[in-house]
Amino acid sequence: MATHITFDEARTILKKMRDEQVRDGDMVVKLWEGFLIHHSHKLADELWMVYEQVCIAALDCRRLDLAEECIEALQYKFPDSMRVKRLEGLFYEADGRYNEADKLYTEIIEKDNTNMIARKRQVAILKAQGKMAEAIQKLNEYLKKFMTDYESWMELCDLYLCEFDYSNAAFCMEEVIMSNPHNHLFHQKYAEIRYTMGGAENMELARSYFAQAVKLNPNNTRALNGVLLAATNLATAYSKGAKEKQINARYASWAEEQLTVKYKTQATDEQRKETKVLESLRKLLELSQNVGGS
Amino acid sequence: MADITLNVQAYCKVILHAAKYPHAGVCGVLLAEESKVKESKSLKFVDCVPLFHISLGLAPMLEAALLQIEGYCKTKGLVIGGYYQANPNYDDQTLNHSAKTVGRKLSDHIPEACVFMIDNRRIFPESVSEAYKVYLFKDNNFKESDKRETVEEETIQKASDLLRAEAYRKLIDFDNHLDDLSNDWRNVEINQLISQCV
Repeated sequence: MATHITFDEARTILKKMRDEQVRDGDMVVKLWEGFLIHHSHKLADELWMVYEQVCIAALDCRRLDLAEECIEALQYKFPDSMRVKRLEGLFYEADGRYNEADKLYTEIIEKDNTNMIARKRQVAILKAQGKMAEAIQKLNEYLKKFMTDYESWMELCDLYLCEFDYSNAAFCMEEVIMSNPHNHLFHQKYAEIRYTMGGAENMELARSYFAQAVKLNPNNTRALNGVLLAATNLATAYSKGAKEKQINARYASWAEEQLTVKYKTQATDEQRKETKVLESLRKLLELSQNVGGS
Repeated sequence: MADITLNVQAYCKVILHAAKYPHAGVCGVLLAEESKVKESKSLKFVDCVPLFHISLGLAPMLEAALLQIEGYCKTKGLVIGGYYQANPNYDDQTLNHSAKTVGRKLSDHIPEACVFMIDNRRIFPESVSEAYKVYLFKDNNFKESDKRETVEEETIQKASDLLRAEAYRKLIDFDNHLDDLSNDWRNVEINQLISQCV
């Protein structure tokens, strides 16, 4: 790293990355080896969380040597910990020793039937090997036992999307939204899936959920784009009657206005001028407006 | 048979995008000179717009991006002539459903349009060959192109230098743009880095 930072700055950056769940193994390893490792005693109790963080980051960078050091330090401090055992499992996974990893996770589950992490790692092993159908099956079995684990519903959604099984992916997002009705990102993702599925009914659902996402967070640019596109599609290709066209033309117009304001306040003059973004938005809007009296 | 070449700016941005998100799939489009496509049906790619690293199989943001990029292309005499994709799994180079769908859509406008499937194993500084397989859309199917060497040796060298310098941290894709509209997907700063003499 070119810039030199203090021990405290490095420590704060690592904490921020833990809180925001940023995945940047390279950065974590550099911060640890460059600025923290020789003063690790100053971290006090935070040291163990940092070891865990550095271990996972090291695995991401194929620094198995560093990961092993972290695991050894943690094993010494917490000899019977399942949380440390899981890191051992991750180590085997990173080394491609999937059978040993799977065996370790099975042992964890035998000792503790309610352990969610070990079960999820078994799904991850299947995913890493490209065995998507098996991963989906295993995750479905898991969710029968742990049906409130919305992160797993999200993962299952993504697995279905990898297989382009949009209707099952939509079902998963419905579960996520039910347990997190105020999260704009979930409404937006659901809308994107419905939009992709196509057809009038799905397009209407898409428009509604994009609109709900904007209501929950007016700064969600993806959702605004979604409203504009869905409304335009509904006003043109999927139009049912003059009244429907008019309503959708108004939705589209409103969305275009919001986006224009955003681009004018956030993007630079040069950006707008060079990319011609406002003209592109306007051109799209015109499609929905040119519906005449038919 | 269309001639396919990528200049240093186009190639480097593709490699940097794949390197920036090692844990995710990425995709983007390649821009070719319109005049060359019309005159000699050859694809001379001169720029790249990295698109997404989140939810690659979904339509709306892709449509929004293509609309904006088409508007941009018209003013620069460019066309969207190619699509690249790196799958999230390290060993997976399959030309999957989303790559085929986008490829087909592009070839509706530009029959010579092609799809680049990135080989994740070749995204590293010591790589000496181009990091993808090229597919062309012919007879309603995608076939691997037998054209090798779409880039010059200096280009691959430049990409290696940029990887070592971690220039990918500065790369902006359309997802970054949607998160914050001041992020410019034209990547002016990266373009300057690329054009600096070695």
